[in-house]
Amino acid sequence: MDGLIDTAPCGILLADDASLILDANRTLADALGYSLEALRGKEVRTVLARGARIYYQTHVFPLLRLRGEVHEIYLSLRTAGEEDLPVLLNAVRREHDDGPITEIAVVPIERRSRFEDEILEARRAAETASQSRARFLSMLSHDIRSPLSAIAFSADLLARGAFGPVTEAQTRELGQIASAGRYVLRLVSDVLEFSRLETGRVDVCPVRVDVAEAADAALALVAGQADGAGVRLERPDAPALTAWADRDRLLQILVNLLGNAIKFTGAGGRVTVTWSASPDHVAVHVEDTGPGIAPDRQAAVFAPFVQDDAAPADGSVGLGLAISRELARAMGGDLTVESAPGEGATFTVALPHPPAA
Amino acid sequence: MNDARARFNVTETGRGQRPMVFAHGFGCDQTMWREVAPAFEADYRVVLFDFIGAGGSDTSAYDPERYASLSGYADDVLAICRELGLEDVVFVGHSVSAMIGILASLRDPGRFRSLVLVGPSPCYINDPPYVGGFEREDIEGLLAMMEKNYGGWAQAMAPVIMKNPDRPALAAELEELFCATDRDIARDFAAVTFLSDNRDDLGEVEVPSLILQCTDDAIAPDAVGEYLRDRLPHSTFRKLRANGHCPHLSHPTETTEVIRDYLAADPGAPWTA
Repeated sequence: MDGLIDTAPCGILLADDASLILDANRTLADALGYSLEALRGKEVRTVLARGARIYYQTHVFPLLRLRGEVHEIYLSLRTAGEEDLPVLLNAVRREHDDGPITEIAVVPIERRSRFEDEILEARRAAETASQSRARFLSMLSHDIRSPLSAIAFSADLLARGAFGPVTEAQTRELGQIASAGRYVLRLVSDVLEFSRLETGRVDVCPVRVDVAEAADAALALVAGQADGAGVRLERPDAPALTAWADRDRLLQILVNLLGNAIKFTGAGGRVTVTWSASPDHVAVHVEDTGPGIAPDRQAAVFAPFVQDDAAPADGSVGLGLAISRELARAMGGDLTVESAPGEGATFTVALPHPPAA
Repeated sequence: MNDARARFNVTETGRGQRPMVFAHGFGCDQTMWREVAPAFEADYRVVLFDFIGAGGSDTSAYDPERYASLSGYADDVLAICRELGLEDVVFVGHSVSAMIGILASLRDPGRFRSLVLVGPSPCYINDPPYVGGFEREDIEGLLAMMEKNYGGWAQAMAPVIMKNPDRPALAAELEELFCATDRDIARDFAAVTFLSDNRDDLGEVEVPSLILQCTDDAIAPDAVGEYLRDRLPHSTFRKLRANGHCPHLSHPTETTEVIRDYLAADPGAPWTA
């Protein structure tokens, strides 16, 4: 081959339809460890790794015949020293005066090939991890949740004297067993719910929901917690608004947001629920007078298993906001936060407008 | 889905009565027969199909357990024959499908009139003194290569196909041929194909067969064809001038003529009398 092509920074090889090598450039001959004279007249398969011979015959050859070209094929060549040389291959089969000739260009990709091996290995590891996770969740569901329910239920029955009289001290202890059991149960349920949400296996049934009614229901559910924490709940009068949402799921989100707000605001603080509408969506805002969230933490609060260092230790596993946001998204909406340190935080649940009747 | 026609993307042509079923090999689909099958349309009812995972087949019908051995594929051939009401079948199988046809004939010998085996091999792995042509590591190398290629296969092909607007039919055909090949199924199929050993089944075969041995076939070398010739009862051995592993693509005229000659002698007549 002439000078430029002979030393081009890629291997070039010409073969006839009988797969005999007609010519090659020096770059390829050097990479394979053959002299040019030794390469000419060899069969293409002799410079392919054995696995590559099958791949060439079953994939590359048919494509060359049917379409006349192949691109970006990963193959291993076999050098004169019996070493594998991974390459990326492009080839074109063209008519010439003496019959069709296949022109092949290869670029060695040893480092890239190792890198790809690592990626594939990582993918396999991720797939294995994902299977382990599924087994773990199934174990949580069946092997932990069911006995926990039984423990809490039996403790309740004993405390109520269903199996004979119990002393006051026994009732107190049994109550603790039951409430501790229910508490762990709730944590397990959170983990399971989040994993269902993550894999898109949660059904939401949107209907027309009166936002004021849902807000009042949520406020009623957290009134006791607010009293205990010395936090004032406010719900200013506002025009009626209808959202397109699954009422139970909206309630779950609002209770979670209100619970968090009460927890972080502390005694003497205030938590306010308001709502608004824009052309795109209906929004419910939960605003607190707590310490606020630094800008660089605002994305992290929605990440699963993240718990702010400043959070009062309540044993939660930090899935509440992650679950709430997934639920809002499952309903076609979203959950966002606006906050500045020292100025409280406002969480906003955006929901679709009801479809036109 | 119970309809074999849809499940296996069955194509039926031809004006004859006797069915001639063409089965593609690993890495391809029924398109591979396009230079050979039409030559038999005048005299046969020509049936083409794609195995599950290839071409236009219904990949949702894939079941790793069913296809953990070649017998799952042989059952598919029989299912197609039954559902299409094919009797006295001339079965033409390329590469691994040659062995699939042999297995199908063992299960239901009365269904087949003759088997045409293109580039067959009962075992690809060397097992001294048997020479299959490959070691287990070679097959592992193939699987690794497939994994790296199939990752970007469809994406790599699509833009090239787009560059061929003047040949839309060809582009569509290729899209069918390779882009639709499911990566995981192709990998399983490769493993089952190249790690199978069906040597012990050969002696039981009752249906007459034609062995087409290519010249310089990197996948099924001469020694393999000769092994089959010596052990497959009622077989006829023909060495093709065609070199490589896909004579139906590279040398369709010779391939067609050799098959036609063999069928002209009406093999199988005593077996169905």
